[in-house]
Amino acid sequence: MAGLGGAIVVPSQSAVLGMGVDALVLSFIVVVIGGLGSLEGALVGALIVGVFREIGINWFPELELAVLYLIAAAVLLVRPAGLFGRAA
Amino acid sequence: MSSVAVPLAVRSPVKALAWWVPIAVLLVAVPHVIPPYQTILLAYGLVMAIAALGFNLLLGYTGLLSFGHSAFFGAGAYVVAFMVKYLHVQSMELYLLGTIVASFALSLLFGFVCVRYTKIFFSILTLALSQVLWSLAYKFYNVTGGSDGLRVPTPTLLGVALGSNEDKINFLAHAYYYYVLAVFVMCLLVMWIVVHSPFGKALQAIRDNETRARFVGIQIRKYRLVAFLVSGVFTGIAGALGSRRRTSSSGLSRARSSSCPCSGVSMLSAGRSWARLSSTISRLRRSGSPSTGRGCSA
Repeated sequence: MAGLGGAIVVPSQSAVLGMGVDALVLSFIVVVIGGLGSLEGALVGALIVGVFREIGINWFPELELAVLYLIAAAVLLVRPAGLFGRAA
Repeated sequence: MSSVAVPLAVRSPVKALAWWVPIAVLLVAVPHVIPPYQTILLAYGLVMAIAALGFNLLLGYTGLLSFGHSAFFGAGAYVVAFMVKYLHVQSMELYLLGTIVASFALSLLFGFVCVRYTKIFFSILTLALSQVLWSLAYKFYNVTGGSDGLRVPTPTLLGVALGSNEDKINFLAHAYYYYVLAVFVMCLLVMWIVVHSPFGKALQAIRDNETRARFVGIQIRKYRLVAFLVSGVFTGIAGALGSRRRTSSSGLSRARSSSCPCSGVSMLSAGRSWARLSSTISRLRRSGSPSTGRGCSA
């Protein structure tokens, strides 16, 4: 599935050596926000990350990454297992 | 479980001396025996050892696995760089003082937020917070220099400045090495006292059985916070000392190739490799540890 993701992203951006790290970090944040082991969590987390990242790039380019980690930290504070996690 | 923290006190004093004296003599003699490059490398090893002392207090004694300690290391380095850039401070002692204050404040903030949880929740929360700092340092190019880092010139040690004709390599391999060694020994002593104090025993009790420790009357959250503070300050000190190695200078030719004068960014991002290492450690540790509680004890 991760390979499929790579195949889908290649037409919109060129294949480079470090491209995996970017995806890895983002998907880590998605999973943390959404909740470990939860499908709807991954969907909602991906939406949150995608929307906030674009907002960040548009208005506060310097805070683009920090805002994502801040959201992740805030979610972890309120619900340590993520939004849709069951272990909480 | 407690194999990580075998107390030194069980050894007899004579046996302990037989170990420590040769090591001390070796460490003092090293700059006169081996080439400068290896000595500078060893000094960096000592810096990392200081960071490991702090990390061990949290992981080995308190049982909290932090993925965010690179934040304190980076904070230590960046505080030094900011003190140079904005306050034009030259003295290494003032650097260390500023670093201690800053890493204390930072670990108070992080610790206050993080010690409400344990295990994986604690780890991920520390990682998220340290990544906030990393991304700030990475993006605010005007302030932090982004991935280029900030340049830290040679500081004065105990008020003595580097002579204008003196070789930078020579400075790093002798004066600075002994400075790092002295700070390391001080940190070692402080950590030894902390670990063997009633406070240290309480930390081990918390690690081994949280419920029972609370039953005995230990204020778990407060003790964890203090352990986090001590650990963070130690790592910050290591960061301040470590910021010297990446200093670019005409005398230090290899620094040119490493391109990051004070690469706090790489130090902050080193947290990722650090996290990988620590997850391995935790996996090793977990194989022998009884599970106590659900992990998130809010």
